[in-house]
Amino acid sequence: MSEFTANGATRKPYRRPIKRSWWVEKAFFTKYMVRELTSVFVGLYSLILLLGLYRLTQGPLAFGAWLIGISSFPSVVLHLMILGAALFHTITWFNIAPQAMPLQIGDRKVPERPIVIGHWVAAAVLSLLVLVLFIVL
Amino acid sequence: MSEQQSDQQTIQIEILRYRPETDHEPVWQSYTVPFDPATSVLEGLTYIKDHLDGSVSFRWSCRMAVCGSCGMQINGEPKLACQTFLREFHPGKVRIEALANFAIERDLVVVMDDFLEKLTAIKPYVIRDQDKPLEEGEYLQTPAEQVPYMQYSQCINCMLCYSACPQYALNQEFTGPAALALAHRYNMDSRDQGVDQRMEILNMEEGVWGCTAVGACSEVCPKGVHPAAAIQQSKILGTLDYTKMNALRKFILPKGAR
Amino acid sequence: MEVISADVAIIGAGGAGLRSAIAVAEADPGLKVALISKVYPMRSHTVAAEGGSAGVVQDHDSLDNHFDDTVSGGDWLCDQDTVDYFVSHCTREMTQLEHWGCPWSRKPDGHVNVRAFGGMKIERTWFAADKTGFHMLHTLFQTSIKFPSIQRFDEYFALDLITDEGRVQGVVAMEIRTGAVKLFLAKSVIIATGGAGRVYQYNTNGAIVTGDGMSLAYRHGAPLRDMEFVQYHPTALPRIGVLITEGCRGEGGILVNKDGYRYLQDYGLGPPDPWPRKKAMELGPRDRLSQAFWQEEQKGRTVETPLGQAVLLDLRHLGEKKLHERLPMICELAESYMGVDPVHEPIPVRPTVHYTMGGIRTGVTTATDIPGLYAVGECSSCGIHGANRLGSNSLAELVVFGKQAGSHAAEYVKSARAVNEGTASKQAGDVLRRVKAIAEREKGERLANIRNAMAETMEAGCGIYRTGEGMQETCDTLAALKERYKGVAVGDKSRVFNTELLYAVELGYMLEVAEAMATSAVNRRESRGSHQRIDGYEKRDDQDFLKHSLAYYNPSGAPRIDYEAVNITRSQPADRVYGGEGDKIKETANV
Repeated sequence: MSEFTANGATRKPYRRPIKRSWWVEKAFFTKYMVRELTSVFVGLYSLILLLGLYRLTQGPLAFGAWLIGISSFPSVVLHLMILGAALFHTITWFNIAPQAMPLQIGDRKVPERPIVIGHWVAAAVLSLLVLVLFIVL
Repeated sequence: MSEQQSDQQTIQIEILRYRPETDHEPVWQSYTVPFDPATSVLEGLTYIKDHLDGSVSFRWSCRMAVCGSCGMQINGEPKLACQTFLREFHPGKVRIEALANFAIERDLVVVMDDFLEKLTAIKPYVIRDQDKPLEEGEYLQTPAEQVPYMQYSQCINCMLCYSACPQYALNQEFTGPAALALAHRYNMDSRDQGVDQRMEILNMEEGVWGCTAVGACSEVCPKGVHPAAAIQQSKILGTLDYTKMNALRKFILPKGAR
Repeated sequence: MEVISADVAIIGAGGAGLRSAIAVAEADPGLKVALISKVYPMRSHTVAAEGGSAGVVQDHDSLDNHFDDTVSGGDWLCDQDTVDYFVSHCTREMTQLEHWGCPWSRKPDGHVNVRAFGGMKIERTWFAADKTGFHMLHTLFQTSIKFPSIQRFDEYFALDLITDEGRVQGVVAMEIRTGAVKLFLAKSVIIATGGAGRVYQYNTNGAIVTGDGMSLAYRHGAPLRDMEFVQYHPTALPRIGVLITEGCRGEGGILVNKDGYRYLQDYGLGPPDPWPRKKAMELGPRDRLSQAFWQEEQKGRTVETPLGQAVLLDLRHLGEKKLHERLPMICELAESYMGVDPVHEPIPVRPTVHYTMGGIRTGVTTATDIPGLYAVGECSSCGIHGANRLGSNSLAELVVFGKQAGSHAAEYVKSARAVNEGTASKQAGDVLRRVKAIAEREKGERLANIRNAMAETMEAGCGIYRTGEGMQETCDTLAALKERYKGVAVGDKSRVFNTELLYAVELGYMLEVAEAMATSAVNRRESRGSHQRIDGYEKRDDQDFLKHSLAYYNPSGAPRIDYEAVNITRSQPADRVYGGEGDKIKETANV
């Protein structure tokens, strides 16, 4: 060690490198990355639907072909994966929703759980409505 | 630390040491420390410094989780050393290193300049067009009006949230959870009129939009501040501002002080 | 050596230091303020204060009431002119804090709420849940950011004052993260470094409460006043020392011994009911409650816990809703550190050193004996606390006298002569050499050994009850420890963030302050407030000891003790009466 002068020593702060596997090592972060990944599936589904819409504009034959295409076994498997991803996305999305919409009754904050449940109820009601309309129409 | 009993339990504490004048990089060092059910990790560290190795440097003060000094990575998780107990880890080892995502100044001491700059930049004080004279007394604020901001005022500036946040890890420009929560605390205080002045820094890429709702910050916060919620709420305010739909802000923002 | 010029240098960035800085900035934005603190401001020990800050607001309350409570609480050792100034400015200063955003707890109508506190006849304690100090400190720190004239020097450790020509000229401080020693030139210096509770073994204080500023002023000739008066807070967690606020008792908490008996009624604080009742039982003054514990312990009626003897603070009857709303931090602390949920179990507590009534002698202007040097907060003795401080007067003191210190320092600077840089630099060189001597010493005594010996002897000889023999032994032990300290060495030879070296310097400060405490104590041959003797001097002696003690630094031994009159205006010493009928606290007053 050098002599004790008024100048002190030179600092040398050390930056620890971030490991590329940061999201693999903690379950919390892995879950987060999977959640983010669901966007790929949701995006994919939008493309499939867009394609279907386009085929619809091309006439009944084209649309019919598209329908047959998405009914194939690999497509069904893909759609099941997309459904799983969408559900996971919905669960995580609904869990975060109350954070952005703080509700208050008098001087009490409405806890997050009832708001999450409210989202599921609303989702269920809307899904039922869509299903009924689909059957009826 | 009281005198040891005859069958004193001990635990291994490993500390990531770093002395910039002599070390090229940090190195682990191990110590054997006596403990009982009430011994905190902080007490373990002060035992080491008093009796085993005086050269271990760490910040601490209040010992009751309110000053925010003693944040560190304990077995990989950002925690307050005064509120973490050695009994939780026994018979395993306790590995302690400086708070993640910050540069190490020395041993368990991190460089806090960036954090302080961000805390300062968000204008963390009441902004009003006009302040009424003190003789007229306090601004009235009902318990109901305190609810929207009170939670976000509990931050002890311990920086555990910055350690947990992967966005901050990957990008040091990100304003970060505590600073953004503090901005929101003032935005939602009925006595404040400064939301427009804070909007620029909030609405930046490095502001609230740097957050992707990972939520790790709220998980590790020792005071239940829930910075993630503050940030998501700020995103709505920010969106309304960006789309010039500020008239809708009245549903979210508190009334100005009466 | 780097030289930094300022108009006002402030050592300490807690509640008092920050309020002073803001006061200077508001008085004159053209003045440069150097705010020097050995920790980041939000770490200052103000943050740990829980219960509240006093200020008269209720229509049926009055400044006279606050005055009377404070003077009798202080066992008539208070300077009554200063108390008058204090009580008449509390409410204004706390309203100022409210305007700055402090989240005081409110009544349903939106007005600030007040609660009952120990030794106070009428509710006047403003509170922010049970984290008042935290909220006050953060409000002050965040507000201070508004003022560009305040330049902060965070993590700079004050090593000495510069005094010359009988006045202050600056501060020498070490930048902790480089070890660089720097000279701050300033015509005026405000010391706001807090108390010295860490000289005792068990205390509620944080690591940083080591009497730094007290020792610096003392060494430069400013007397330390009333150092024998050290407050034991009646309720802190055993061994750990974490504070359990008086607010618990303000909300109706009770203290029972191992037989479940509310023992305070045996010590002149009863009758036990109706409860809660101001100035009675658990809302008596702190010194009386701590003394009662000692007596109970002697009689074998305290509770044995793994962390030592204790009594039980029972909050169960308050109910979960009120506990979580009014005392949330207490619930967390009890759970975290004792594994006790106050909703279902009583909390073991015991008296623990908490506050230093004594300090650098000042008055209503906060000026010390050294021109240009001001002292404010727990490091000072401005005359309002006397022999025993009432809870919630200390937080109020920070802002009332913080404003005074800043205003007066700013005023002083206007007419003060320029500082003498040449002399200052030379003195700074001496400071550097002294620190270097400790830093470079090859072999010597371990810090912790001396520190623990000091803490043990203070606890033993200068505790709740004292004897001449015990106090003298403490004085002798401290003298021996000061000798041993001359040979203290630190193993850490580095410069970057060398906290071992800082702890060594702090130990030097603590030994000086401890010696002033013990010497003042052994010389006070009476019992008053928190200085209680059981060796023939059990009574208060207004004839010979209705006076302040003054400890003057003596470089070659124990301090020279002198005395000065107490300023008594309209409240003549009387018996301190607590208990009795009092006023039942109405539930609805504190919704």
